Amino acid sequence: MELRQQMEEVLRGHNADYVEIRVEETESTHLSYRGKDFEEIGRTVDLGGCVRAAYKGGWGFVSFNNLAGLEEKVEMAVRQARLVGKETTQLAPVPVVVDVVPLAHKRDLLSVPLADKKRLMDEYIDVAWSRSPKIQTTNAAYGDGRRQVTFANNEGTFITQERSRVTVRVQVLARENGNVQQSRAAFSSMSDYDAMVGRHAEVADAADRAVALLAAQPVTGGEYTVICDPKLAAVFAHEAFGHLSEGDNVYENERLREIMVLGRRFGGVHLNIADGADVAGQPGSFKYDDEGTPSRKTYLIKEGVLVGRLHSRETAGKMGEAATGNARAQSYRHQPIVRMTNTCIEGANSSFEEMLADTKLGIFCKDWYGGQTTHEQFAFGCAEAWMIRDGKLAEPLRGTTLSGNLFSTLQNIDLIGCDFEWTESGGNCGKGGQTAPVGQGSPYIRIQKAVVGGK
Amino acid sequence: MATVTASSLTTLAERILDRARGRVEQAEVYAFESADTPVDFEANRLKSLETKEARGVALRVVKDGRIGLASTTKLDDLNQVVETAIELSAFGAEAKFELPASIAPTPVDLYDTSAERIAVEQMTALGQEMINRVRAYDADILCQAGVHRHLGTTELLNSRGGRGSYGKSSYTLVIGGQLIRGQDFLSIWEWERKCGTGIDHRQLADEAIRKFDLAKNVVPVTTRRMPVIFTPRGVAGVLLSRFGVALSGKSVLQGSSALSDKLGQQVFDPRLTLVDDSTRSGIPGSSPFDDEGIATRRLPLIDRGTVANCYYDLQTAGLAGKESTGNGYRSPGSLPSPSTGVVMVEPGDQRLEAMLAGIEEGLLVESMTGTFAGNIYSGDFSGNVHIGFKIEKGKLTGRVKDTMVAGNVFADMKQLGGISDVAEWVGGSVKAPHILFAELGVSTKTSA
Repeated sequence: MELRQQMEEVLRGHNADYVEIRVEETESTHLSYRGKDFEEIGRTVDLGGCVRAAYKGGWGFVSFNNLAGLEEKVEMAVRQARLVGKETTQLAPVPVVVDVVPLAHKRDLLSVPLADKKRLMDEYIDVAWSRSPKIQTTNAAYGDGRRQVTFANNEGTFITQERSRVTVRVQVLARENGNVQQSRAAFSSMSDYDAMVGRHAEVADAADRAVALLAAQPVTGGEYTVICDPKLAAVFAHEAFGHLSEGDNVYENERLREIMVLGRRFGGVHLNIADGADVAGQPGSFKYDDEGTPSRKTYLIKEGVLVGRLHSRETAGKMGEAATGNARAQSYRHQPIVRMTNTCIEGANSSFEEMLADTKLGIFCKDWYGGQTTHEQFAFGCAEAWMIRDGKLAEPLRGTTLSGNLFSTLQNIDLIGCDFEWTESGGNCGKGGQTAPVGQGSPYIRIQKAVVGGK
Repeated sequence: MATVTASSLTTLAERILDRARGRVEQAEVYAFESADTPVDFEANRLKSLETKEARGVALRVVKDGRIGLASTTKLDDLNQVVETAIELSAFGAEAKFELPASIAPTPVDLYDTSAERIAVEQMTALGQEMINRVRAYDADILCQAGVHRHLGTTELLNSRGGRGSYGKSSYTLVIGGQLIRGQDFLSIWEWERKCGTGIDHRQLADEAIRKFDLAKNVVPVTTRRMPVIFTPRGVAGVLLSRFGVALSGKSVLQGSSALSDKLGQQVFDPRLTLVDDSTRSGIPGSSPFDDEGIATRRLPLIDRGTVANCYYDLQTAGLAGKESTGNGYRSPGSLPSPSTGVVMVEPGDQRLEAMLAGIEEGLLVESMTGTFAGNIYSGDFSGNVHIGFKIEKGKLTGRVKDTMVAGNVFADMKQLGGISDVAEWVGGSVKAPHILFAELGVSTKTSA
């Protein structure tokens, strides 16, 4: 029987408020290198499905690899939901959609011979090693994958979406005596293998940066005026504000609802923060989220004022707001939860040169190694940093971590550049035990009184 | 709920091995099957019930001396996984190992039927009781809780005759919540994981309450170098990952290990002993053999301050001219690579009270954020204190905020302020005592 017919049939006639089925198949290939040596090649095929049901506000969820007996799996999810539900199911309405979203790739990733992919990686690794005798080692990886998700619910929505992604990552470690420093080049595309090709200069630059960090000194901890490059500023927007705007953090949390009340001022009029999956070609881009809600752009902060937040159908329904297309599941093994997609600080009117010239003593932080938030407090590691003295870049710093309180930091962003850019490789965001690829974009920003960690 | 059926998994693995055998020099099938039952509470009440069943296989082959890998959960087409592994081996790395011709499992008891037997209704009741307990202390705390059960079977078969399988259960309790006052956000989490249901849920809830109570008072701290105690959770979360990276056979082979040239030398405080030991019964991080059939063992990593051993899987050991230490772990989609199992820091000789008593101004750090960020290879760490308490004149006076701690794990552990005499389990894979650093860099925000 055809999958659509089969799914629609088993979705009928259940004693539940809502039922949905996802069936997913992925095929991914990875290559990895240890130093100059080729280490691993592997291919994974993953086929599985899940059923989620809601009854009086409670949820049941069943995931499986064996697609046989779908009917019983639906019944099990409904039974579980009925054990939980004691209140009311409130799901924001979304249009019933029947759609097929095919791959938008320029060149089929799977059609590129493995030998070509391997040769490309060999070249990049050679470039990295050729830059300095201080290069200790490299860790390089190539990955590509294709994911097809078929979604159906008992409201009549039936969507098949196919997505792909290719990534190249070259991490370079430089060493001098006991001092080991790292840098990386990372490329990514949702649609085009050729975007991975011919980027030798950027790999060389990553190697040079790792070597340069060997001479960098640890920063003296304290409060500084900090200029963030677009990559770091984008992570800041994601970590510091994006997570707090996620509806699931807010909807059943009275205190947080009071803090995150729409209309409240969080920053200057130059501050605009938005999220949306409807941007072409970013890691967090898609046409429909994992509840079948069409993607759209949502302003979180407009001209410094909180104007929106990110929702699943449930969080939107419970808060009386509209679903925003932010319900995402890592795979069929997980229930969708509220996630960011592509989050950005929009460009304003300053420039990096102006920020620098205007900073007497401060730190310029560039790129990042990861970030984390505990709602009000955030912390992230900078890949590179320099002291700013009298309006000019001075000595390089290493091991620099930026942290602070969200509320005061947003207020303390005093300059925002006009030079907006998306971070090419985006990031992977972890939440609730699930990982999701996210897009991140920003111009340069300047923050007053940021806490920088160091010796 | 149905338990995992080992026999059908074995049949599946055998069928794949049979198809690969004869076409390659070596073949190994890693098969897994699991059933998870997470009971989750959100916003003080039961939110969802889940049943997650998973099943899959991975095939590693060596053909013409090269390694190929394919894995699948699409079990209706076993030929595909065999053909893919063989096809990819043409591009693969040169194999430097021989799979074990027999697997001699270390006796370790990891399947506790109490986890299998507990009913969902009981799990639900336990979760609600933990929440009620915390809310009886303070109804303003928005609680989350989880009672999770995992039952799994791992099956390993290779073409040289090695075969083994084991079942493992794990049972996890989580209780915590968020307390917001003004713009002050406080999140406290307590969790514990064992193979069986023998976890005192009331004690866990009480520990969360104790920390909420201590954390309600926010106190200022000065920017300067000062004594810092890491709690067992702090040791597990902040310090141990640096050792894990530095002592991995892979880092050593690549020359990226900050400790590789220190093997056999005493470079740490003589009171520091760090052991990898996956032979602990009842601890979910344990296993009778690693994911390529090498028996687990007790492996000292740091022995009374001396760098004693690095840990290896088969391939890395082959490349380095060493023996596997039984540390070849994998996810199904990847080749085995060196990884620690259960990591234990041996307790020291100081009572925690005595440790605290000697501190005029210092910090007790339970968890930090952002520490994954810095440069893990160098041993540097730097991050924001998430849950940490101020020590004043030997007493814990309250929680610190907007405070960063930075140091270098390797340099700062040359001479420690002390190690407490009791080690505690943290989750299902680390056991550690409190560790006192005589002095670490602490910086704080001085104004809003």
